[in-house]
Amino acid sequence: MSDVSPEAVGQPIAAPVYGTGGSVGDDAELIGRSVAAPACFAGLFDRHARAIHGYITRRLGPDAADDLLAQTFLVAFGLRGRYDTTRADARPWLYGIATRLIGRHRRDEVRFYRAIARSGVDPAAEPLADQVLRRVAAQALHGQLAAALAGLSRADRDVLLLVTDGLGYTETAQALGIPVGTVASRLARARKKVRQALGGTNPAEPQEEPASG
Amino acid sequence: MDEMTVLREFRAAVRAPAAERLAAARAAVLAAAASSPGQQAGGPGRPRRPAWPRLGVYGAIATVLAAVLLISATLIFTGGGPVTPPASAASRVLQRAAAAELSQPVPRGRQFLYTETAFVLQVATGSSRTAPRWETGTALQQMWQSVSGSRPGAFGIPHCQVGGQRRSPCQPLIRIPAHAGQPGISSYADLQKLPTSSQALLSYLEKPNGCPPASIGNRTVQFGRADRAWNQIATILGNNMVIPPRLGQALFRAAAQIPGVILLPNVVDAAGHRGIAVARTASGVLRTELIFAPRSYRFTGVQDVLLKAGQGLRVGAVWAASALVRAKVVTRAPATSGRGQYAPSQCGYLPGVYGVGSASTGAAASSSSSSSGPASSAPGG
Repeated sequence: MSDVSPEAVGQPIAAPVYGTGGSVGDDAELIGRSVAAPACFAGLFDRHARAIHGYITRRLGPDAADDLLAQTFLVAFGLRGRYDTTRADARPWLYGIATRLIGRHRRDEVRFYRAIARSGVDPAAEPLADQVLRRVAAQALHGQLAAALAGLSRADRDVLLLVTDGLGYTETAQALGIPVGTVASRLARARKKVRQALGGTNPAEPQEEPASG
Repeated sequence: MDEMTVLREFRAAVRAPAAERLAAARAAVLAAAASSPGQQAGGPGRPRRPAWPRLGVYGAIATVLAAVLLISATLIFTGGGPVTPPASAASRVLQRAAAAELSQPVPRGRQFLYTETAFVLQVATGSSRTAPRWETGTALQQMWQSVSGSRPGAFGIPHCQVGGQRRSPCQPLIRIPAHAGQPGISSYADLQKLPTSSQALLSYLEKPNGCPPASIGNRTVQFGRADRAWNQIATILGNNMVIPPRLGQALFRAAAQIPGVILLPNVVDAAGHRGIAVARTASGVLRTELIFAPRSYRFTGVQDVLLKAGQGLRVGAVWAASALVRAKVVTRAPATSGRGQYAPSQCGYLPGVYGVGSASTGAAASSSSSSSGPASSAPGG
């Protein structure tokens, strides 16, 4: 996990939540115990639900996220007996399940991004108050970004968005069941496409030279 | 700013889920757990309890909520701020504003409405990972809007100033797509179709409009009917600045019927003009003011003032404001050269934040991101 960038993990508000079950052992131990004592699984939910919800929200919108969040954990619950308990951190596993469920809604995802790109209105984003107080120059770019995401292949987008959510290369590889080298090459391709789509068009930032217009 | 930073900010903009949203999923998982026999222990008859205290997520949420409430409790009004006279004073101003609307000319369908709007907004500088540093930004915005909505218009920001640095142009002219009959942008003609009786208009404004609820921290603030109506009025006025006279009349009459409206006798709008404002506060955070010229009672602008300090912003800061500088009817819109196209937010008034999505020109459009025409398909979601 050395390549996880901690600042990218989850939301600021979610941060304290990760710790709530911390004293009782890592995810693997929790899942292991839930095999015999199913209710222990709630602890896993409490640790990771917010981050997974945010991940799904970013890809499918807030309403679909509620539904898929429950599905993700129900699938995980059903598979808990097969969890590789040598993996202390269950995030790659959970993100992987969520990503596969999102994959069934690929058209919805593309439609969601295009709607953001077209209208400039992001239904997943905080419309008022605290989050808006953090409004940054990047905001005006989100429409272009959404359009770029809509244009990526699903495989590239999976990798890009898992890494954005704070998974490292190894964890992303685990989540998707692909080699680490493939993660690297897909990520490079996805980043390049997004970079091209955003290239030099940040309207909230100064243009070095006056554009004609 | 590199693309990973933009992506992380895009991700970070996602609303934290409200407790109820997680609770439903959690209940489903617990129900599955309860109906599932443990493989060794937990045999029948033995009560199964979650091993981990429920405090978990909810405890943390409660802590954050308490902090939010504490901040709210320190809410103070700025000196010389709002007076709360009898509601009739605010409604008298709105009635006069309604009457003043009728003296405005009505453009024809083939014409364009040209508006110049001064706006002020708080701009966060620095990385999203550190506490933002706020600069007050001022800008001038130009719009050529097709009256019928059937011809492409133009939008641009010829100059702006942030923290003493002036830029010109700030946003080269981009297209306002022709959009007759399409949701997303309301043309003058679309606005002419709204009800012109204040009662019918108020019902329309109060209706849920598919906009996401506002949030404070992780608490979702459900907009009530009155909040929605006031927010919609500010959105329509802020996005258009000039609206059909009969709609304007009905809008201000409807505003006079919304509870909780106060009068601010002495405000300054984004163009620096003194005015009278009627204002309403939603969720204790933002006070949204409609500003009128002192003698003529003509509408001049919209302003959002923060009533909650936080993130380095003080109480009383102008979060966003715009004021009409000039309006005239013209026959043509200029050619545009900037990438992307204009799409204002329909869910709230936010000057300076506008969609420029779906690149249709420019070198970068050769990537797969421009695979679909921006306005060719029906809106998703």
